[in-house]
Amino acid sequence: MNFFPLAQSMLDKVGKVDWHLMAFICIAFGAIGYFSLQRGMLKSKSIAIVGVVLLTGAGFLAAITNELSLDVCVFLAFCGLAIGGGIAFLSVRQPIYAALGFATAILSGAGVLFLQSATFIAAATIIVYAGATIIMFLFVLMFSQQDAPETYDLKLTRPFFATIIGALFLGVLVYSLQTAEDASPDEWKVVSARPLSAETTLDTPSSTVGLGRSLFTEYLFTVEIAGTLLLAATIGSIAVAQRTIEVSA
Amino acid sequence: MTESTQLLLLFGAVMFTIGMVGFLTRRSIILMFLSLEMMLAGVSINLIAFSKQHHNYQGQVLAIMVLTVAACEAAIALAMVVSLYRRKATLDINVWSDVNETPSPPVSEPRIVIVEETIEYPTLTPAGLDPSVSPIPSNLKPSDWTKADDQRLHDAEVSQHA
Repeated sequence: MNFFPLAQSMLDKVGKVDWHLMAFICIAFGAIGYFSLQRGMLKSKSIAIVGVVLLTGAGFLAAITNELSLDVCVFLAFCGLAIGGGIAFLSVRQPIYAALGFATAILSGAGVLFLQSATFIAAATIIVYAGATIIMFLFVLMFSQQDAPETYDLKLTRPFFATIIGALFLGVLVYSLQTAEDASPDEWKVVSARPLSAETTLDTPSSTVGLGRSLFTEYLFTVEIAGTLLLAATIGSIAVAQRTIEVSA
Repeated sequence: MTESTQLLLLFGAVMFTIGMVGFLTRRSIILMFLSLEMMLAGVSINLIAFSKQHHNYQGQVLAIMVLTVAACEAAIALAMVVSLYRRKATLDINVWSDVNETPSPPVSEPRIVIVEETIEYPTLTPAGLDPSVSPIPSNLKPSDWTKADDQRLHDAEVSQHA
């Protein structure tokens, strides 16, 4: 995929600008915005309106200049939708809307995985997480069916420290990505342990065939371990959730 | 790294950070669990990105393992939520803060604590003279003992037991 020809051309006009500097500024603004949102200085509706306006403007810009190809547009749209769902999950106080934001983020993440030709994992993610999320919806409906939101939904534990920790963590990750980009390409030329054969490359739709073959030949022991883990989790969850029987003395 | 890989890694990092901040701030058990799932989703996106980068299936196999562990974790977490809600009818995590470990005493401190308590012994009929009411001064030397002292002692004993 050819990424960011538009942004690249703009950068060429401006001069060489490190993209991680812009990423740090974005992280700082996001942290400040999140914290002020939690302190009640901002309303979440205004943030949503600003975000929608910005995203729509970016989309219009990309469509007018006509330099981005369709798959890049879809990829970026999925990324933006996932991050928007995540931000909604963080900022919304009602638990059921938070669960909706979580579902949006996870399903958009599955779309991103689908574009990376990991079709089986995308489908499995949708099945597992969608099933889990639907059950979560049932739980939320069952446990928190009140008119007013509870205090533990309204009052968070130390949002200031959490914001600082999150911003620092993301900053360190972005910085390490930048240093990895700056490293010489020879250091990143990792020789794959078993390169793919010609008939099953990752980019073909039949990559699921290769994945299955790899799973059940090279990683068969891992599959067995995973099956054992699932069995143990099933037994454990039944044992934990069992209603204790009152024994009369 | 290609730009596609870099963008995917950035996306995974953002998802992981969102999950981490949510886990640190949220107080509802269910929403904390959802934040954990979002962190796992970010890690899985990273694995897929590296699978694409290196053109083999190792990352995808690892992502399937992450998915399996996430499913197991979901099952056990839901069972725990049910059983915790049955104990105390709330989803607040702070209610369960007394489950944490109590601070252990420092090692230098002796483990055996001596308890001072007053013990009531059986008493007999007092014999002899109470030293506090004795007419003889306590610093009297035995060489200075006279017959008069004997007599005074005898009188005091008699007057005490009378």
